[in-house]
Amino acid sequence: MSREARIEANLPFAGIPPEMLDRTNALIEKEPDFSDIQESFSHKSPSSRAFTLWSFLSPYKFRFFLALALVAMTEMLLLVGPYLVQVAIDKAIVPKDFSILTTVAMVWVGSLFLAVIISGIRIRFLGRLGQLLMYDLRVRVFSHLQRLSLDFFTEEKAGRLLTRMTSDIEALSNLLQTGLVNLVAQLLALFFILILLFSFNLQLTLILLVFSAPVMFGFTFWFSKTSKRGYEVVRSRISNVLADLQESLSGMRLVISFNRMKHNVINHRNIVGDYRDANHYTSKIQATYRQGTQFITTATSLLVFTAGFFILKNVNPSLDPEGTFTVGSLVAFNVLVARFFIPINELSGLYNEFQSGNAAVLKLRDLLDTEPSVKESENCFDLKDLKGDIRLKDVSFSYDGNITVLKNISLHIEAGKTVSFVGPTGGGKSTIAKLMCRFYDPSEGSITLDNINLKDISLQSLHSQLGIVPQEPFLFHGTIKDNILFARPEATDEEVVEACKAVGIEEMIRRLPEGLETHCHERGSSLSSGERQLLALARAFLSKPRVLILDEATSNVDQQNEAKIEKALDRLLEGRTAIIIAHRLATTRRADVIVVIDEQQILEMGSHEELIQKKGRYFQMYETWERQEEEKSEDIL
Amino acid sequence: MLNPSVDDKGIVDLDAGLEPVNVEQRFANPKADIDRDQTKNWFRRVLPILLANRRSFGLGITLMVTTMMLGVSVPALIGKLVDSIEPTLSTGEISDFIFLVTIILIISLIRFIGGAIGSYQLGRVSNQLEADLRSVVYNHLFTLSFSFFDKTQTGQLISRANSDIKTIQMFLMIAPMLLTSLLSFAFAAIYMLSVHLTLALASMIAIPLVFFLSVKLRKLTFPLSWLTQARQADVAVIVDENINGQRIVKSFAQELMQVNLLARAAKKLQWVQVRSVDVSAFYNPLIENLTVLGSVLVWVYGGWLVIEGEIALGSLVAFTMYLMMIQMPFRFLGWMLMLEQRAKASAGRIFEILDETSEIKDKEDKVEMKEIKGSISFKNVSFAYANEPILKGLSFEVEPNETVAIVGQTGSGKSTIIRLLSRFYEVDKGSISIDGVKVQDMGVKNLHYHIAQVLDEPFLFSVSIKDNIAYGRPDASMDEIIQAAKAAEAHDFIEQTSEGYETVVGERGYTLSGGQRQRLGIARALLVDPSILILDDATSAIDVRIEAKIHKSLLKLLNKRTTILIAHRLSTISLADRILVLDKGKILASGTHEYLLTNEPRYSEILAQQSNKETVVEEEKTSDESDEEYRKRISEMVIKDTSEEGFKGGFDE
Repeated sequence: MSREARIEANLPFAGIPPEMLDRTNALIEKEPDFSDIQESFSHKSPSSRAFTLWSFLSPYKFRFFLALALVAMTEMLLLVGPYLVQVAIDKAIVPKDFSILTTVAMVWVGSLFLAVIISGIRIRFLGRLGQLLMYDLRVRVFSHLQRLSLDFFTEEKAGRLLTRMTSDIEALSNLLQTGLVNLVAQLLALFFILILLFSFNLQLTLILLVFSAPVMFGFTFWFSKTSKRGYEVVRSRISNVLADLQESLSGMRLVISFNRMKHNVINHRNIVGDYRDANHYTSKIQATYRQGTQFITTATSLLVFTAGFFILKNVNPSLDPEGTFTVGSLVAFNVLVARFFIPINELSGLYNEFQSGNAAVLKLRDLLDTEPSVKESENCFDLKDLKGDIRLKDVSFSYDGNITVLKNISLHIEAGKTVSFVGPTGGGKSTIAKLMCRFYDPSEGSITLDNINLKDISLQSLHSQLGIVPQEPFLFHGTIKDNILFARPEATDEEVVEACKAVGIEEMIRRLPEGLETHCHERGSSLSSGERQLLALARAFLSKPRVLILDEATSNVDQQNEAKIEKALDRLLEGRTAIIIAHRLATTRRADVIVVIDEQQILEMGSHEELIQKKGRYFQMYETWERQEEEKSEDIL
Repeated sequence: MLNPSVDDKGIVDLDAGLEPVNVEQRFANPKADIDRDQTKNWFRRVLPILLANRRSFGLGITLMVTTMMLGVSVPALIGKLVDSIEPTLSTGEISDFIFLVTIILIISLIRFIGGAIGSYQLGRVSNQLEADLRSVVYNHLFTLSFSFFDKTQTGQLISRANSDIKTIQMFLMIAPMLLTSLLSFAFAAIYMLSVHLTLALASMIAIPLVFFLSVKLRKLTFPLSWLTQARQADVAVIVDENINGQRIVKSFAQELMQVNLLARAAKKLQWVQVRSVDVSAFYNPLIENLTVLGSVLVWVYGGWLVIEGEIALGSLVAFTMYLMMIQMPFRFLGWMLMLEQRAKASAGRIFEILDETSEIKDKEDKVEMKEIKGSISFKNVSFAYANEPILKGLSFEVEPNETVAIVGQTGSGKSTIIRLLSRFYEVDKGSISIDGVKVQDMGVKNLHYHIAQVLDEPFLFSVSIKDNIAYGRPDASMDEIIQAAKAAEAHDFIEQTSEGYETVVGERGYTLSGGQRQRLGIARALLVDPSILILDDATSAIDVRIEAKIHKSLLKLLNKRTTILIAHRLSTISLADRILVLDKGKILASGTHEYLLTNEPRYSEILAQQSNKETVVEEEKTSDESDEEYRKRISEMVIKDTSEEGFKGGFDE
């Protein structure tokens, strides 16, 4: 991106200025839909090779070298000008030869013409290649994320994973498209320029290399380091300013009613002042750098002319245009010096880009090298027409091999039965559900489904026949319909409506202004958490799983929706194996078998009536629960 | 508790004494305000702030102009240097040559130092202007009434206070620098024209084309970079949701669907980026090589002129250097013109906020009351939000030290009553008085000094728990703070947090539950020891058992002051001496709980409805982030702000 464009990018979503509106709309209209894109996905990692910059580039190496050849050509074409200056002076102007001047003009204009075309091709070619690589990388990293097991997706990692897919890939893209090519281009340029400089004059070139080049290099290097640091400070201070502004606006009522306006005004002034000081610092660095490079360039010109003068005095005092060193060479040398500084500036500026690009490669390598903790076995197969007979044999489970959550659990759930797990939080009931879905593997023991070990079933076929509704009903951005369809994208509209009816939210959805097309997250139409849970149930219903697992899926439902949920469950559980994990014992009562789990093991097991008669742990829990329910209704009046 | 007032020439009228301040002011207030005359154009309205920094500005401009002029002489002198090589070599008298070199070196050194100071000064002015504008906008926000915040979204305000101000800053930073470099163009052109008219014109032939192409490029670039950002945000949103909803993705075996979803978004991103590449592949080489075309003409046509003897070789060297110098401003001129458009629009949006005035103002002869007894009287009060009548001729009285509960359905106007009492809004009809004095006749700060309120969702600042409790009285001792926390049953859980009273809470700190936040809110109000205490659903999220304990301590405290309660729970209502039943903007009945149960059938109806609502109301707050806000949050997380680095190289390099 050009420098100007980067400045304009400063306004993310600040809106489109009116004069740009038409152009932007026209562009969006031209954008293809790409709905036909079909990638493939497998739970097995396609390549076992470690991710390195080279392994990433190697499939494209031919194109990459071609691009580098184009880079070399453009860099050489850039030097035609300075060379022709020398020719013009020594061969045409001094000997007064018009015809050579015409040749110079034609060659020069021709080289410019060629440069325009070749640079154009180079930019297009490299840009397309880079974007293709980025597309591949995005899909590759994202696919790998899908392969990783649930234990990988802890909350603290969520933010970092997002940056892997966005700014890290962006950093790598910068490295590839500008950084790497720039490095090669500038090194080539430096090489060609030095050859030409040496051909003009050895001593003068050495003087340049010893006196000017290190100064310029050091100066630019200093600038790129300090300005990076300076902008980091600016960034963190502006975020302080915005956070304070945000907080003041949110707490406006409090500020005003406690008469703290003056305090806030002074405090904000301090924060803004710190931000201003950070800006002053970067302004200072920039002003010094801009003027400094100019000064170094002029001083170098003077050095070249003075030294050149003395060299001329020694080797060619008569200024013979045929001599070893001529006025033409000197002037051309000076023209080249300005060009000589460009690669030096660029190279030291590349430092930051390389640092962040390299860091991105390492981070991406770490991610791509992470193996899923739940892996498909080599000879797994697709399980068709699951019946839903589940058997746990001496299953133990511990997180990270330390905290034991389950100890020697054995359990048989017959196909078509409803089983409910109850017990205190942390007792291990949710873990059983996760093990059955194979979100984790048991540390010891085995789980079979229709007498087949879970590990031998392909994850795809397992999950597509297993429905799980978690406690927090996660809704994706999009319409209600999109969210229900998530379970089975190919389902028809009728099936969606049927699913809504089954869980009793059809009427609620119909009342919404846009019905099924209502956005789930939009302000004003946001759903209550009870409604979200019903929506999650509808989603599970649509997927028509053989085994349905409700992991505290009805805990947030309010009283108004409770009856609906009970009805919905009737339909949902019909004819399939169901596992219900619930706080609300009302839901539990309906189960064929109730399993009481605490302290990592099964305490009691049996039907509601059996357990009540037994007067054990379940009986106690049920009594307390009933009492609470009564209190609740009393509290109303 | 009254703090001595800090000297302030400020923008906000700050009454002395009533406002506790516990921060030391480290930066002076803005020296000037914007011009309040709305008929003036945007630049003239900002001008006072610019003029307040006229010393830096004047110094910067003077230095820039002088150094530019000095700079213009350098190429001519170097040309002269080239021309002096031959005569010097033939005469062997090198002192003139050395003298010339020394002169150029000195001029460049002066230009370096002067230019650096000058452009730093101009940078300072624009930074100062930005900071001042930020403060002016911020300070102004506190003078506005709540009806303004009702109609304006916080996100919008923040974006105006941020990117719009930044745009103005950017323009005011670039414009003076660009204008001075245009001045250098004028000098360079004069020199070139005076040396040789046709050669000068010929060498500048490509400049209009460069200008035209740069403008065109910029116009093409904007939509592309805008769309690129939008598509980047799309990718980020898909990834963010996928990570957070990974369990759902796995549960339904929808990995492939997700991969395809991402692939589609990534393809769109690829498409727009390839288009950007194509645009720059066409324009950038063209613009760069057109710049060189001038040099070709200088050397070929100029070379011919040298052979003809019309000009010297050194002039050609000077010409090429001038061409490099003057082409840069033209590549940026179009951008500056565009930036001016944008700065104008941004300024317009900022002025929209600054031109807003509040209808709630202190009277000239306001009554200041040191102590109040706490009797409240509403007489025939009517009030409408956006033409929707809420209160219709409402009248009631509250005795000093009385505790009154207001009960009514959602939308019956309960919260409006307390907002009007605090004068967050002005009544449409009727009057509200405290101790017989109309609230409009009291100073607003004086009024707020006597009233403390606790809201159902108390806002906590991102400071320590201690500072949050002491918010209304920063000078309170630690003992007093702990006492207030104990009365609000907050002390125990505070002790359990990692750093006790020093634990930072709020949006950027430790997350507290709704009930815990409410308890801090109560502690905060109790510490102020107000004459009138308002509890607006202040214990709705607190566990019943803890609430009972709070009530115990409240009972002792409520006797000493007038209290207005808005509550759903019976337990809270029972604290009141008297209950007002509010229905459709009017008082339906008033009396004790027992009296109302037997005599007012609507009372039990309303209570029943309220307790049903309770759970639902809370749940609806789970997700009220709009799509737009969500996208914005995600894109801000991932799109790095590159604006500052953008201008790194400058245009006069």
